[in-house]
Amino acid sequence: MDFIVDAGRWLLPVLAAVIVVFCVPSLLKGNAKIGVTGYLVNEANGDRIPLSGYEVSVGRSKVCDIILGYNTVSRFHAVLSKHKSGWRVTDTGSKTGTYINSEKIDKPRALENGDTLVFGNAVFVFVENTPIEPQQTVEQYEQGTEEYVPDGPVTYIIDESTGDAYRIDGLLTCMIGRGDDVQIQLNRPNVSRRHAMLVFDEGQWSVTDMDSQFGTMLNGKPVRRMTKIKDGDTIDICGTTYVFRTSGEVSA
Amino acid sequence: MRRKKWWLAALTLITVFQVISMVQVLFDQPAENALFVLDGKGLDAQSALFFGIFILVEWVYFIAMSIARKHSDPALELVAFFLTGIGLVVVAGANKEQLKTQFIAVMLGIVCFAVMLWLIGNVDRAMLMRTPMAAAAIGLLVLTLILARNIQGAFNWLQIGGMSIQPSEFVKVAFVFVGASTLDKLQTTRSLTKYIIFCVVCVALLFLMRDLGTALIFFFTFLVLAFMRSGDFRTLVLVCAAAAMAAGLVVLIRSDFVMERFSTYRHVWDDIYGKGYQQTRVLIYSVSGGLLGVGIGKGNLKDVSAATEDLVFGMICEEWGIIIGILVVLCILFIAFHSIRCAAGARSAFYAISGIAAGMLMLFQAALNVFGVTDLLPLTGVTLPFISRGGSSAICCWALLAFIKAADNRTWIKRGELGATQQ
Repeated sequence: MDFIVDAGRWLLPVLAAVIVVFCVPSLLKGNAKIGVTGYLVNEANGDRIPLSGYEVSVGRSKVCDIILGYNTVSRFHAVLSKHKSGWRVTDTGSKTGTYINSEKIDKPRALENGDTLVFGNAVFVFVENTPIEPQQTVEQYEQGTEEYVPDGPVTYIIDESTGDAYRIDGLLTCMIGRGDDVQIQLNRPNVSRRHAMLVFDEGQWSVTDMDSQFGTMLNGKPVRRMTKIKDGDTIDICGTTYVFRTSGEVSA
Repeated sequence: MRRKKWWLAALTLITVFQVISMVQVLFDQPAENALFVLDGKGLDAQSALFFGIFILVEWVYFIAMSIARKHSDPALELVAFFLTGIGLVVVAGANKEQLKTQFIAVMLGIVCFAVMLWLIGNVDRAMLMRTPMAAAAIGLLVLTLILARNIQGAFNWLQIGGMSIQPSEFVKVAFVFVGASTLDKLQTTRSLTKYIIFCVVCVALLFLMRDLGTALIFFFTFLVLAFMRSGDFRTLVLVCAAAAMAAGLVVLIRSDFVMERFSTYRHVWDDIYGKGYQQTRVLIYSVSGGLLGVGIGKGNLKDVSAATEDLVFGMICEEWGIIIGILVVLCILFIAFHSIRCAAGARSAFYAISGIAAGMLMLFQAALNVFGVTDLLPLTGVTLPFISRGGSSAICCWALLAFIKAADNRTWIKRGELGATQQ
């Protein structure tokens, strides 16, 4: 018995320390970001306001996520919330009301791609973040669309095996995965629904793994945290290799 | 990349830890008629059964979770089970008769955790519950005020049948719940007014009960909730309400009972056999425990009144050693930190606010307890989350844990909803 007590005195602190060390990395890890899953395009000036996270509040108050400085907009006017089915808008007791396609809403309503949203005097078009269509060449891409062209460099993600080029400049986040709400869809076994995400922040693209089951490799090394990427870097997801090209140098 | 099955290793280590600590308190019966005899002492079969069931429930819970919600992060519950296990052994080491009640309370707490998680799993369903919750909380406090007996200067205990419960513990859960559901982003100004009325009524009733520790915890939680919804004129309203509550606190401090506690503060060594008795014993015995402790159930602090409740941190330092004492405090700190990390990017403002409020409440309570017994703060007689003896407290802590768990998005991913397809 004395032996057990003595052994316990030494063993218990060691075990306790190991248990805490085991659990702490998980406890320190927060929720994964889901990136931008939609935009509100301002009718007046064409500004694209990204919708990220799960709840975006709209109002005149400075604590709102989208601040609209119009007298006709209430302090806390409405909330856009992301659900499994898509984005939804709820009016939070605003004076002038919230309208979808000129129809005043009195209870939460689902938003569809291209819906016009009116908060007081502010008019927006809701744009869902749909998967990017791959383009074989830059020329084809530019002929086919009249999309918003950014001031910055032209950036592509190129699938090495098929040569598909996905243009990602103008985006703030680009999700790669098997799910429906990603920007680059990769329908292969072992790929997680949200597998990896490219994030554009302060003029620099970074890549992060979304806690996927089989991980993401950057230039042959596993991605453990948000890592900056540069022209020519390769991103490997379950056997599919993507090449990151920026400044318009496309060699698909 | 995901760490695979790491929880299995952690759970095994926790089980080993619990078995080693439990064995130390189990062999204290006469050798006659005992199932097992070790060193001339018989096994306490009843306590062994309770510990056995506890470990079994632990394993069943994690295995069930890994099947039903394989993406859920088990670290939070691992830490909670780890702390609860220490609490049970501390209680058994001090007084075996109290183990049964504590064990039942822990089991009820785990059930409560599951029920709360289901209840708040759907935000719309949670919103329907807030008026009944608020009414139940106020009703419970009023009932306590009418029926309670004076125990150690406070009127906060309710006798029902043979059991005594501390309703203010359950009201903590309702306080966080109502606070988060009325301060949710999707709410209008009307719900905020109702919430402030609820807060003022709750704290006023606690003042009347002279439950200083809980009143302080409520006040702090209120500040956290107010901060989470800060900005704009609403803040002004909240701050006004906070000031009213602070004024109430001052009134409370003027009462003789509280003055007595404050007069002892920083003067425990002046009256080591009187007012400073508890704290001085904690300080003396904690030191004698050293780094590794004197051995579970072998300490002297357990004979001091409220040793396993308010003074439990001293018990751990004496019998288990300061290393485990610090690790226990770190565990609670990390739980609180986890709630902050999860709030960013939570699926709803409701989860973010309730998670942070619950995490901060636990941390503040732990700080009051640990700093109280070590005379860094006045001793207010609050429990150490998950560890202290006290049925209501154990149930409350597990229920609060559900709020933090809910703020972690991985909790809600159903099987097959995310991740790889099978080849």
